[in-house]
Amino acid sequence: MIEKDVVIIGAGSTGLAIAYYLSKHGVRDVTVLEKGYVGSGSTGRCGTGIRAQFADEPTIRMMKRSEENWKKLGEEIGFDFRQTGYLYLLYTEEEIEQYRKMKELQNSLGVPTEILSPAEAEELCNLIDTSEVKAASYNPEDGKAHPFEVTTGFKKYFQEGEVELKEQREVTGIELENGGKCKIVKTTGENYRTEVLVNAAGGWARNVGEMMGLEIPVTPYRHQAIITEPFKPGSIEPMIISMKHEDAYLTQTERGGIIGGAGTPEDEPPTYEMRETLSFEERASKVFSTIIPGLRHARILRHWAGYYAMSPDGNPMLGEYKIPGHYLAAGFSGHGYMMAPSVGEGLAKVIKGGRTDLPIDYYDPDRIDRGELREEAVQMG
Amino acid sequence: MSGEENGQEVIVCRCRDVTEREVKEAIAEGYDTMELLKRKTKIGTGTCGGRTCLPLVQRILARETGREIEEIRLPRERSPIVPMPLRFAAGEKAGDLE
Repeated sequence: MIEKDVVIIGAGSTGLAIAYYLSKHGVRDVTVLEKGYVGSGSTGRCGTGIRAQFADEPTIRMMKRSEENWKKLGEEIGFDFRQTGYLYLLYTEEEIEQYRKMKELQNSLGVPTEILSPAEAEELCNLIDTSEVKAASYNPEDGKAHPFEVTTGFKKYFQEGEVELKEQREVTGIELENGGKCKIVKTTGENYRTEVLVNAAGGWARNVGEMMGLEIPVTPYRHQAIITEPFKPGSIEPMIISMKHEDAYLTQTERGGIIGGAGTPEDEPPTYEMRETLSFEERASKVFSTIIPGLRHARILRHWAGYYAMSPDGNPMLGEYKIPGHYLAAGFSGHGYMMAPSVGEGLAKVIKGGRTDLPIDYYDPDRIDRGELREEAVQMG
Repeated sequence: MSGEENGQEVIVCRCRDVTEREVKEAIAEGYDTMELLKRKTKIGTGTCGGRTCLPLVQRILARETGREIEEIRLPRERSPIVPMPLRFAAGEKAGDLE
């Protein structure tokens, strides 16, 4: 039995960021357990986007900090946070009104979003069909980062420091002692005893909860993405969004391919199935080649699926939950990757017993049981 | 093979310009499955769909780690099997091309 100050379950972006900020705050006796490899769940399958263009104050504050942290993390652990902006294409007066209100709120919180004319949008990417575009919402500080560079960057950082990262270690059971104060975490390798346990298991957070007799209301919904063959760098720099076209998003990776996805049909039930579907390939191809007509000639190289781990109100569940020393960082509902650096910073401070200026309390997991559901954060894909 | 023939690098993935030396270095760093090597070095992610590089890298990985080739699982096949233009995926027929 190995004694640890903190055990984190899940080495996706969330678990890795929490471990990083704990170590920054002097909590170094930390183990991160991962059943696959770093980023093998939803992180490595994500659409790479990072944005602060949201409609509610807590999410905007979390994401503004996240973008500041993404930048610092990129410099420290060695990956590119490419701040190429998110460009929302707006097609109706109602959309313009809605995004103008969001822009005002974002500006009041220090996020420099602007409403652009179709011509200005075209300057950012001249491949867009702007014939029906009436305006666009653009925040130049939004951006993207390659998830594999991020997760392997953390891995390398931990190898040179004190945080222990154990891949290929699946948690097989959790026993509670002393009224839950002490948690025995059993894995396919070593067993651990800890007072502080963090559930950052993403789509599998519910399964980890069940090991402690808890019902954690996080449900995996499959979301899919495609990537095309590479093109000349700079072809599609911003993340281009169209809510009109099935909540589609697309951008160019630093390797040159066009990566993107679209919304899951509302009648698709939750699933742990990770197979891609041909019907998605068809839907994505239709909307992508409508938004950017030139893409109809581009060839799809690969297509895959990951999860949006949904909470009941589409917002994260962050903080101590039901058992003393048991922290939840789950239910990010499609925003876990982009939010990881501020979640890591805020939760590390909470775990240490300190104060944070981030609105972690807003995401108190007990709100669900109290029936205080939050307004759903703006979603796409 | 040392990874260099007559002082020249040996390319194992022509789509992504990956050399045998880079693959060996990744294996030495602990990227010791085909899935991990694919993510680390980009092998298997090019236009050929891995037809050329995957058998080569499988062989290198077997040799470097002392395993049998049969023990080395290839990365999961993903749709489409060959690169497909979006317009066909979107339902256009070949004759629709102006």
